[in-house]
Amino acid sequence: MKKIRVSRKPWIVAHAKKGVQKRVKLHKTRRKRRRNKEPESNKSSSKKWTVVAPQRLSLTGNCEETLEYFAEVLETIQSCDNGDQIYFDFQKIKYISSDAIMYIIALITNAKKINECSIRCSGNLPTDPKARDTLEMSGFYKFVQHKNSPVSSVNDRLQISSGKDIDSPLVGAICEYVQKVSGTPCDTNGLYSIIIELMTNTAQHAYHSEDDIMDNNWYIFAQNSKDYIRFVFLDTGVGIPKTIKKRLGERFRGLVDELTAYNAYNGDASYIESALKGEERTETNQPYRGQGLPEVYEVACGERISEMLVMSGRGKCRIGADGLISNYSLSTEFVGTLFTWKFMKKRSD
Amino acid sequence: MEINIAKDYTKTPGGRFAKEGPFSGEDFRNKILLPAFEKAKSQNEKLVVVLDGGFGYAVSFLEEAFGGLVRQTEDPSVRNIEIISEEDETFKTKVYKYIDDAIKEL
Repeated sequence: MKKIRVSRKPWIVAHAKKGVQKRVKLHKTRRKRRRNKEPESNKSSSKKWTVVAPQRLSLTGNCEETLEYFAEVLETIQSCDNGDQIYFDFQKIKYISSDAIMYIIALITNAKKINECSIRCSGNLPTDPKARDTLEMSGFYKFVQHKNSPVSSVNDRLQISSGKDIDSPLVGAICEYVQKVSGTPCDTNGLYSIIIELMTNTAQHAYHSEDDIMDNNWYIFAQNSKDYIRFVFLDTGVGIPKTIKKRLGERFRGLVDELTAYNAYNGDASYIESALKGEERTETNQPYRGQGLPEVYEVACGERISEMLVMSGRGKCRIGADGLISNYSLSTEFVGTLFTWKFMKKRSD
Repeated sequence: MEINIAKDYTKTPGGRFAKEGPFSGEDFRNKILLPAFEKAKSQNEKLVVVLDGGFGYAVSFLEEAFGGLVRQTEDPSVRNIEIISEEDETFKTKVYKYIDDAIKEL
């Protein structure tokens, strides 16, 4: 063994220590360099998605463009990952209707993915003062924050309520509200019956399994005007055309439509019309069922209800004053079912 | 023997089945209508059901209550129940139709 001179020994030890210190320092420097090289986006994996609303957002007044917007919103929701954000850009909106407000609320609160993936939803207000006022007065922001609002309305004009089951006390309260704002006594039996039947349809048929991408809520809204009260009722379920019983030829044509993604013969609208007329369309196959939509149609043809519109899947039906049903095909699918109608404060002659 | 739905049960009748929400036709039938029907029958009395005074009725409620009573008891004498509905005559017509249709299916 080589003898180490005493004078050199401390230097060797010091040198060894120095070597260790040098190695530690080098490791720290390299780690710092590596950290500085990492791009900003990799530090946080969440992404911000922006969806821009069109100028006229209305299912009744600007149907196709509004449906395209909602399809984009749904697609965005489905594309999100954990922790992503969706920003609703409402700046360009110049007109927004009650049905569109309701549907945005329904999409935000019903989409299961938003809760499962902790997706944050935020947005801005329309620049246009009227549109901004409409959104604020509807209770939209309050509802999105608190997930509900009482039936006694903001400024006695607008209300939004939601639920899963048949909430008959709520419907009673809505009828009391109608009586109050109508000024004169009016018959609300038909209105009561319509709303209960629509809640029943949502509870029984709209949502089929836990695999559905949407939660099973319905939403109802009432907007008071001088001569009438406008109602909007909707859900985000599978839709009337998919839940009714199909006849053999229709099943074949429906398959062709599905494969070609084209509603060739206005099938969905025809199915809605048939269900409204009570042409044995109940999916339960029980003879005493399937009374709900025919009841809605019967009341819609009466004196108090006017301008009923039904939208579901790729079909839209308008019920005229004489009970005549006009059918329309939609190029973009409406996810769910929408009913909107006017309750006339005075009987229409 | 008389049942007044608005006074004896609720002014806000609901839908068809109890699992779907409160004040359903099924619940009304099991708690109020069926016991009254059986009692009236045993005492050889006429059962009268008053539909007035509430906010209205969904057809699902009426069908499940009265049509369901026929299906549950398999007894055509359900048809002897007297229905009073002065606020809306169509409810009375509908109830008898549901009873008649259910009897045909027996």
